[in-house]
Amino acid sequence: MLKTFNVVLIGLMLLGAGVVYLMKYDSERAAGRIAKLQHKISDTREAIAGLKAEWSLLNQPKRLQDLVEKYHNYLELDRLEPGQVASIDEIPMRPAASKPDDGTVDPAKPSRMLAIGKAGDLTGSIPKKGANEQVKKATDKLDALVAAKGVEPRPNDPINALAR
Amino acid sequence: MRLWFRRSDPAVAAPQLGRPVHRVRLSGPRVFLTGLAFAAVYGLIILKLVKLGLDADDHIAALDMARTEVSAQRPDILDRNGEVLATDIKTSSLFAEPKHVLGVSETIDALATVLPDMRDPQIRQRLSTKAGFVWLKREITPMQRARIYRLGLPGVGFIDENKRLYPVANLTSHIIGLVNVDNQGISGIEKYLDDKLSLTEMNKIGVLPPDGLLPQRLSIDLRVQHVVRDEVNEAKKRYRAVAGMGIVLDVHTGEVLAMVSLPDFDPAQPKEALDKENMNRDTAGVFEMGSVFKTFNSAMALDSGKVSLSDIFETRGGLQIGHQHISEFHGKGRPLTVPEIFIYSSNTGSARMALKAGEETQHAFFEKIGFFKKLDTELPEEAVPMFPKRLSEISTATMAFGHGISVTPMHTAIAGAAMINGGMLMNPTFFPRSREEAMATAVRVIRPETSDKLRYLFRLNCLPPGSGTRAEVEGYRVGGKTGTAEKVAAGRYEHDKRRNSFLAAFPMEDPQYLVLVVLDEPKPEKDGSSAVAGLNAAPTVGNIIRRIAPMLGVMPKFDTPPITAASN
Repeated sequence: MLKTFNVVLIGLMLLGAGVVYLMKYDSERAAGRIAKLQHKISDTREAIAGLKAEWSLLNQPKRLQDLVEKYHNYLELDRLEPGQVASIDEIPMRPAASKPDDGTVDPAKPSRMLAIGKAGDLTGSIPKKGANEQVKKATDKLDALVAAKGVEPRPNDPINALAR
Repeated sequence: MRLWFRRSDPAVAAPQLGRPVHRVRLSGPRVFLTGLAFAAVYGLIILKLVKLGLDADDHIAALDMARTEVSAQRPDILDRNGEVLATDIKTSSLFAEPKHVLGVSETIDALATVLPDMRDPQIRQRLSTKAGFVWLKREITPMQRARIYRLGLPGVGFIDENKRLYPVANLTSHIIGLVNVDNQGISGIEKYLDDKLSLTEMNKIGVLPPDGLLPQRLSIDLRVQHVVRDEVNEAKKRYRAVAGMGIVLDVHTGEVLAMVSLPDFDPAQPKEALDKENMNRDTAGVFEMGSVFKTFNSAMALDSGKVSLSDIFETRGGLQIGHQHISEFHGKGRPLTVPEIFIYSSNTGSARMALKAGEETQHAFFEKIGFFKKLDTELPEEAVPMFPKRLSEISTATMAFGHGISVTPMHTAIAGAAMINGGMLMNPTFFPRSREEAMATAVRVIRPETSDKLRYLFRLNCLPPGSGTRAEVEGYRVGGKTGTAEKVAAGRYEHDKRRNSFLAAFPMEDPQYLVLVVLDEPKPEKDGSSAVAGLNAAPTVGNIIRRIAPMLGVMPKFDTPPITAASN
């Protein structure tokens, strides 16, 4: 009776030791993983902070303005004039005489939309033949412009500090 | 358990009593010798431990010192839209523990492949000592760090440091201020944050939250700030001025949306900040603001009830007070009404208005709108106004058109906001604030009716034939007051050195934003033309409003009814 009890106790002890060992092993592994992840989190945080700093360096208003002025020939971005600002209520309704917008346009009465489509050429909801070529042409034009003028860094640009 | 217990039971063990005693006696010296051997081994271990402990002490302490001395962590500073104005970036600093360095020459040769300046004899000298810790180079780039790491040199290591980066460079340098090499704020908002959040103390005892400090959002709008700096810089160049200032305020909250003082400095070159020329003139410089003060004079006279808009004042022949003579700048040669005095900027008329209202009334009013005390903003750089200590007829007369009293441009701007926002004076602030919060601390300085009249006068002055016509932007109903003050040099007013200003607000029927531009010593654009404020400061304000109004969501209106005289 006593002997069996002792054997059971020893068995329990061994079992307990085994379980504790496994738990300890698991927890050590988990702790290792936690440390690794925390390290990764802080690394990522630092990387994000670095990227944010770079983003705001690249988005300095002065830099953007200089770029817009330099590539004005291509970008054709001008300052907003007060006359270009209006609220949606100020846009008059389309005259009742014109047909409902079903995608077709009466060739006899060219609408304003069509006029923009013709002038802009790149805009227009219907894919035109040669649209891809036009996009390619525009990209080439930009590449040529960059190659010709070069984008030399400004001497005091803080971006130089990061690029060291 | 029980078995063991039974055996050591004295009753059972008694017959064997003789043997154990005998055995103990025999093994006594052996046990003693073994004990001695163990004691010796433990003693050795303890000695070695003590030695190790003493050895390690100096270099660990040095490393600890270095770790605490590296720059502290600071919160990011953002503009009102979340654009980064100041941030910490991690840099690494290279150190060595000479004790662990294997071969000084080999280490230097290897390091020099990445950092050529490691060949410096000083570095060799530092590495040859037995010191526990020496700095080799502060703030190396991540690229250099990686390359040195790959060299795998023993006794060489890195400590990560925080370095303050100002991505917008000069743009906000006077507002943000600077930190020193240990990342402690020494001027501007940086210093304010240090004091407010006790950053230095927190870093010293190391209780920073693990996620870092919360970013601090300012009331500054980076876009507006850029436009103001761009236009003031342009004007400074075009009119060859020695300095330029620009301020944009929200008139209902007292928030500073932009504050520019040129010349400024690059925060990456802290030495530039020490140059007196580069000081922050907006809050730390006091000037005689000149005719812009006629805004406050008119408000004072009208609010006192002793002067009304339809009153007529003599302006011919100037005004003689004692030995002093006040003359007209753009004389009209006839008596003028109060609005005419405002738009033709009549010195004599303004002086007579002030005298009619009374010396005490003027003094009390200027005190009320804060012209006799330091500003109360977050910036540490604040100047005290200069004003006559004793009341006299002549000082009252000259203060009416902004001479004999010097205040900062920020004083002028925030008082100007009170004149047109309905009469409530508040502290200018560099942090976001709602209208309710602003009103809680604001004090009424003029009646709403007087504020209405000031709005009318402001608007009138930007329509022909007012002096601020060139500030008008179609659709945005600008209103404002010009100021052309002669500068004092060697105790005399000089006729060809001026400080020009334009205090404006828009849209005038319900003013939202105030713009103040000051140009120091502008020259005529073309030879032969004049250099009055209406020709340089006013168009600069116009250019600023043209660009910032759409950003600030002010809608242009083109069918506003013609201006009518406010009821009196």
